[in-house]
Amino acid sequence: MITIESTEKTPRIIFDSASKSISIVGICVPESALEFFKQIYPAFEKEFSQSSSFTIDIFLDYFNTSSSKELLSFLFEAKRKEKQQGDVKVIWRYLPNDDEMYEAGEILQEITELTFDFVETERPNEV
Amino acid sequence: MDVINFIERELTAQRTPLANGNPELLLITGQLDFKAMSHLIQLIESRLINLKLSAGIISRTKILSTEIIQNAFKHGQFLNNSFFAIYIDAVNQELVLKSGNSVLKSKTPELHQKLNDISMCPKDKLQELYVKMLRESVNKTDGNAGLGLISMYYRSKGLVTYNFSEFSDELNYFTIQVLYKF
Repeated sequence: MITIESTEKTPRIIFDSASKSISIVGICVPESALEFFKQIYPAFEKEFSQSSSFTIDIFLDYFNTSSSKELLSFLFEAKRKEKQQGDVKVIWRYLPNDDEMYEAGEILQEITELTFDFVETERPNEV
Repeated sequence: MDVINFIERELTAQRTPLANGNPELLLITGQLDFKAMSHLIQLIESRLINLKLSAGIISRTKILSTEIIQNAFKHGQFLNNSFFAIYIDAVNQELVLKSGNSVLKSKTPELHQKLNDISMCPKDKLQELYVKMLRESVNKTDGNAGLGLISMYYRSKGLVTYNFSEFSDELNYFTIQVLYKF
């Protein structure tokens, strides 16, 4: 398991090949989204080099557009894995009545064509 | 005129007081510091929670505030002293976000052109434009092609107005207002 700890501007990310899951939880407004997301690819490759089936569990409190661009790039990378006879599912969590974040998930689903499960949830403790 | 007074005057010139008599939901002016951004967003969130607004409106306001602050920060990077103000008000089921910041005159035409181009998009096509530009941004390495500005138009359904005022030989003051109904 590899964990990238959260900061006040970036989410906590956990790559866990044992449970075949990637968890992204928190705020995502880094000063440089490119630099922040760069660090997740080596962890992703290390934990999931042998696996093309996993779940990406996402709760974002809010984000900036440069982060949505980099998150989209990461989801495309997951999509590439899925094409290797894999199965990738995204669980997109959002607060009750948060149509804004629900719609943000719908847009990512539309662009990536990955399977999204939309789950209404309470605010995680770490956010 | 002092630069902060100038911005405050610009932003609050047409404000409408809240029904409870408070002059505004939030007005912050000062020197721009990216490190303070998440604290500022927290402050905005706490004010919106007090108004008992829905989670969706709160998220939209946080996202829009982030874009506004980051746009100001982007332009502030070119200046030795960058002043910034953000003003949020909620009246009659409408939320208004205004910001003001200094922009180099040399950078003004590019920003003006981007805003003008986006404003030409029909309101019912703004989400389509946002999705298209987000999709295309993945392969771009030279910035986000105005994605933050498009986000402001898309999330407010086109209710964006902006202005450039001359302030000195080198600087313009840029104000932008984003309005949405809830």
